[in-house]
Amino acid sequence: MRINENQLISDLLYSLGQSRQAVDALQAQISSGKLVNKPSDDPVLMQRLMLLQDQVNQNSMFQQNAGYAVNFLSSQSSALDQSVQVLTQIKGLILSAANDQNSADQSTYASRLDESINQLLDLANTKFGDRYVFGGRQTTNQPFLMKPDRTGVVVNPNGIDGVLQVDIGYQIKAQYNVTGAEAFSNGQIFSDLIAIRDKMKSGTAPSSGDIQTIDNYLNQLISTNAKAGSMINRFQLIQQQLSSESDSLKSTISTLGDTDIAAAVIQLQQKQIALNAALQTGAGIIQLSLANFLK
Amino acid sequence: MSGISSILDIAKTALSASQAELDTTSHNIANANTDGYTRQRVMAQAIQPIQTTYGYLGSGVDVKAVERVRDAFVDEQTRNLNSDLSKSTIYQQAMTQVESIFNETAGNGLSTQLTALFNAFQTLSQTPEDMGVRQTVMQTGVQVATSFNMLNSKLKNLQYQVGLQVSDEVRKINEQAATIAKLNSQILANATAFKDAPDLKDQMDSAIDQLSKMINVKVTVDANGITNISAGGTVLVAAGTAYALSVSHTSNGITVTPYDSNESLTLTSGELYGLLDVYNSKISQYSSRLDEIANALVQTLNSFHSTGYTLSIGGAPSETGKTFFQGNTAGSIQISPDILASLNNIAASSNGDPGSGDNASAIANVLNAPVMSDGTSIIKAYEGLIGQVGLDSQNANSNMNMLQVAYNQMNTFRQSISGVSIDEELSNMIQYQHSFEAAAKVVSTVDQMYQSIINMV
Repeated sequence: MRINENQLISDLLYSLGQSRQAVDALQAQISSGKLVNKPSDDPVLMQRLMLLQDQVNQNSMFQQNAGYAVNFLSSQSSALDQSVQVLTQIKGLILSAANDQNSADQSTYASRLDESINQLLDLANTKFGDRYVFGGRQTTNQPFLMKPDRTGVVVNPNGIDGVLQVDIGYQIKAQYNVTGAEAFSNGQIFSDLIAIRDKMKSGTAPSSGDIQTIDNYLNQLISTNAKAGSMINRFQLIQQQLSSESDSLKSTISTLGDTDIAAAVIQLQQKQIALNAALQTGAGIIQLSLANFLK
Repeated sequence: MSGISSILDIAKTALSASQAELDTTSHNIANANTDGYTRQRVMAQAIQPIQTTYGYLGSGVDVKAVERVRDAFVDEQTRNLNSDLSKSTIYQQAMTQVESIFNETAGNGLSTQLTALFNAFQTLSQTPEDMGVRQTVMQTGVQVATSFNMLNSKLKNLQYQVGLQVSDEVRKINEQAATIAKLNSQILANATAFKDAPDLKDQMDSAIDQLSKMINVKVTVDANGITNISAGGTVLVAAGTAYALSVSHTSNGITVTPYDSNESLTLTSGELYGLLDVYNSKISQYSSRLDEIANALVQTLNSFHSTGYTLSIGGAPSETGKTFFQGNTAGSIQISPDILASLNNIAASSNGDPGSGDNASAIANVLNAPVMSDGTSIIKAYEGLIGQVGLDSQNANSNMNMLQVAYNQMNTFRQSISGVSIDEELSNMIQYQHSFEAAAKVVSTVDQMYQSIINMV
């Protein structure tokens, strides 16, 4: 076959272009650290990586949900802890009052009890952020409201027994609150304490029945707190599971989609050597012409 | 027996033949890098011998013609490949642009926005009464709508650009056809002078080459050297007349029609075919899929949203039946006026309780639920669309590379026949120079012979 200069040069340019393209592709893989830099690099892998990434994103959202639930429950739990302390103090107060035969002292006990009721009420109206934690789903309305004349506590008429839920998986929900209805017996605890206070104010010492009532509420608070605690444990466990799932997803993404730098660098060097050789020989060959030797 | 002068006559033909050969060599070297140039060769022949008593005596050399070294079959192959290559180059260029429109690897595309919307609704399900979170939900909703709008307008804009290219391409085809018709009329007007003119033929071939890049042509050359061209089922050039194609833009797409009919051309390759296909089918295919996804998002998200309850604050009652998005295509999707009117209208609650986020999480899950007609979710459908674009782009690329290799090979083959080799021309030059010198030597020898004869007298 006849080979002329133009053919030589266009062939040389074509193969140099091919070499440069290969070097460019490897360089992109190395500098971005990713095998797929545009969808057409590997459409199948790209789609797979996107699906995995979606899972990671969802997973991190579920982790965030679980984290929020843990925080919310912790604030409930610490309010319940304190409520237990306050109620224990109240019990001590009532016990002393019951044992005090001097009816004149009862009104002093009554006013101390009134302060403790206030403390307990504050705890029952605890907020996490802007949300009343014991308001059920009525998080924007104060669940327990002391009447101005302090003769009783009004419970939010819309109900405080609503269950709060978050997603912890695709279409998997979990409850993350204990309600004011269960922790504070739907406000009955305040009515009973106020009745005891009023009785003491009028000079009557508390009865053993009153002590029993308080014990019952104490047990109710403790068991509700235990329920909150076990929910915290559950969400922490879910967080750990989600996090290890996320780790394994991420490592799959990395295995599939990240450039093997060592391999890529070696390949790049091979391509560079080829390109270098093509440039060197090309530069030599295109200079050869019969014209150089004719005198 | 012939006289000494006949030797001189023979030497004279040799001198002029060598001159013609050197002339052609020089012309070849001059045009070594000219596009579309075909190397030329002098066709020389021994002149009819003269019969003498002792046999035939040669009477020199005659230059019959200067002809092009060219293979019509290779020309046709090269042109067909060029048509195919140009078509796939158009595809490849269009797909590169479509791909850059849909590029998600940078991490700020629609898929990221959709996930952000999912996350915003999930966060809303945690704290449905939080105005900051509601603000985020609305903002991400607006961003999703804007991303759809942007993608749609970028695709439409690309389509518009391709439409302009079609008109431009048809104009160029008509111009090129006119050029060929003009060359035909030159040959017609002066057939004897131009019929075999190699450089005129080169012009013709080069014009046909350029035409074949744009549209797949059928070329026939008649005995008089007149070239007739047809393409896509119609005549483009018949002798000295060119028949112009016309373009019409309608809502159904672009059609290119011949001068005498309203039926569109039946093309199979060439740039024009590529452009028409990209305009009429390829881009529409992506934008209608995008419309489907946008519509599914609006419909399903609204169907969940409208069953939820708004946030009641400050005594206003909790309402139901509000929409989140409106519109039914990627171009028209927008956040609903309900949401723009008040953030409270984001229906996170499933029963009107302010702390209930159950509907928000139901809405978040819509994005991953199999709501498309083919059983995929909205996010997966969009990612599938990107995968399709990637695959189409990859195919377009590999097709183009394959055809490029085939075309290069055919072109190399064509060059190996028709291309000018400087080495070859230089060695020919030496050869012809030696012939010229030898002929000149004959003349001076004849001169000496005359001298000898004169001295004899």
